[in-house]
Amino acid sequence: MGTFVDGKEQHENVQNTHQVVNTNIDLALLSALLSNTVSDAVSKQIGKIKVSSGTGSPLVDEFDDTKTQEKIAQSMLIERINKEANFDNLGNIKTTKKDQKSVDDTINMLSDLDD
Amino acid sequence: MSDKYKPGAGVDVGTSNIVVARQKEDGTFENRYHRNMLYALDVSDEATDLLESSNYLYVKVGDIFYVVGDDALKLVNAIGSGEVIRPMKDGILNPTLQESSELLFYIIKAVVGEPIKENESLRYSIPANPIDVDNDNVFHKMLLESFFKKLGFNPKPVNEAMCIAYDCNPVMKTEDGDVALSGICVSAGAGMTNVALSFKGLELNSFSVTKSGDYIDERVALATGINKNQIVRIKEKKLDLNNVDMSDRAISALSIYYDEVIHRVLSQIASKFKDSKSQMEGEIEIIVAGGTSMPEGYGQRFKKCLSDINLPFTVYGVRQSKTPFYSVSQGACIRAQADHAKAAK
Repeated sequence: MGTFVDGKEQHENVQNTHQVVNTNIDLALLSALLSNTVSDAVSKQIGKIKVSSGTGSPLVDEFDDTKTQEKIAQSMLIERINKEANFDNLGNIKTTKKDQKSVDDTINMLSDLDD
Repeated sequence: MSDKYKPGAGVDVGTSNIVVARQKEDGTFENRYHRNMLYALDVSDEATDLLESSNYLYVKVGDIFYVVGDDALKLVNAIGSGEVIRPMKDGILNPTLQESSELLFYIIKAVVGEPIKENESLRYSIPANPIDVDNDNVFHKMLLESFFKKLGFNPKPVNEAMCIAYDCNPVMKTEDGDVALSGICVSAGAGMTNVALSFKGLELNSFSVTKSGDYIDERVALATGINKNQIVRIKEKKLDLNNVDMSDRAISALSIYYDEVIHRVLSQIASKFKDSKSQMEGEIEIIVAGGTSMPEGYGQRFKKCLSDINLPFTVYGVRQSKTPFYSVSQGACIRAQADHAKAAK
């Protein structure tokens, strides 16, 4: 609203102001839309954004899933299908000969190493 | 059987082949090899007659015959249609083939056999982390470990390219003398090429690339319009990289893609191993092995490509394994024997 001087209404410079409009907007939806729009615009400019903790280092899932992987590996070894084969052993045989001293030297050297 | 072999088994679980090595008491290495392929055939009277008359090896699962190994390749070539099933892809278990993974374990068991003593040492080859795909090597390693434990072995993984070092013993030449088990080892397989830098038997650095033998076959098939299975046959039977007949479309394309694959590996060696230069204070040797290195002239082609690349090391020689197809399994067997010797100390 403006002020009155000599009976005439004077309007302030209204640049950069907005008229208030009351509408029913789902705030959660609006927030999601805005954040997507902003993040899309930013990522277009600077590339993908990594989610960071307060210290600026990337957030890493440190949960050790070794046990899960072990269980999955073991579950994959359960025989679920019935199989009938016309063989017991498989494969062709090729024999080779190596210098035994060289083999022994390698075995000695390796047996002193850790895994 | 237990008197026949020294304790310690080596298993090369490759994309294309499964090879198991054991050393006999007389010193010879016995390699049992099986092509890692299946061909599915619907059960019918005709199929049964064909399999029985040809003595093809198969596993029957429900309404399907899975013809195994070399017989799968023979059959697909004879029929001229369909594709073989590869239970492994890019050096690890193909996760998209659930039924064939169970068949793969069934087949590995039939190739490896029983341990010769309780908790016998066994080393199985695993690829290094690939630089060009996101593969789950950790799970692959865990799966094979669980499997071999179930068979009664004491299993440990071993880097595939390091097996080449244990089999072929690269030597580094220094002012103070020769240093054993030191150099670069290249295992050119079907699904992957694995590379390791070994220093006194220790793995200093390693990587793998998935563009290897299968990649060559696929690209040549695409470029020439010739069926991939036929390309495999041409590669295995006719290709001589010292003597390329450029009028032959398949042979010339194979030669061109071999060049690309070798150059890619050498470029990656130059890039990935440059930080390890300080530890290799001498002139080193490069050893090449693996099924993809088997065509005549591969070693010379490798040397020729090497002259185009600046490596961070001085290389005094490129040596091709005398037994390129068996170097990984034999190296794994030697490593397993060392485990046995260590346990006995």
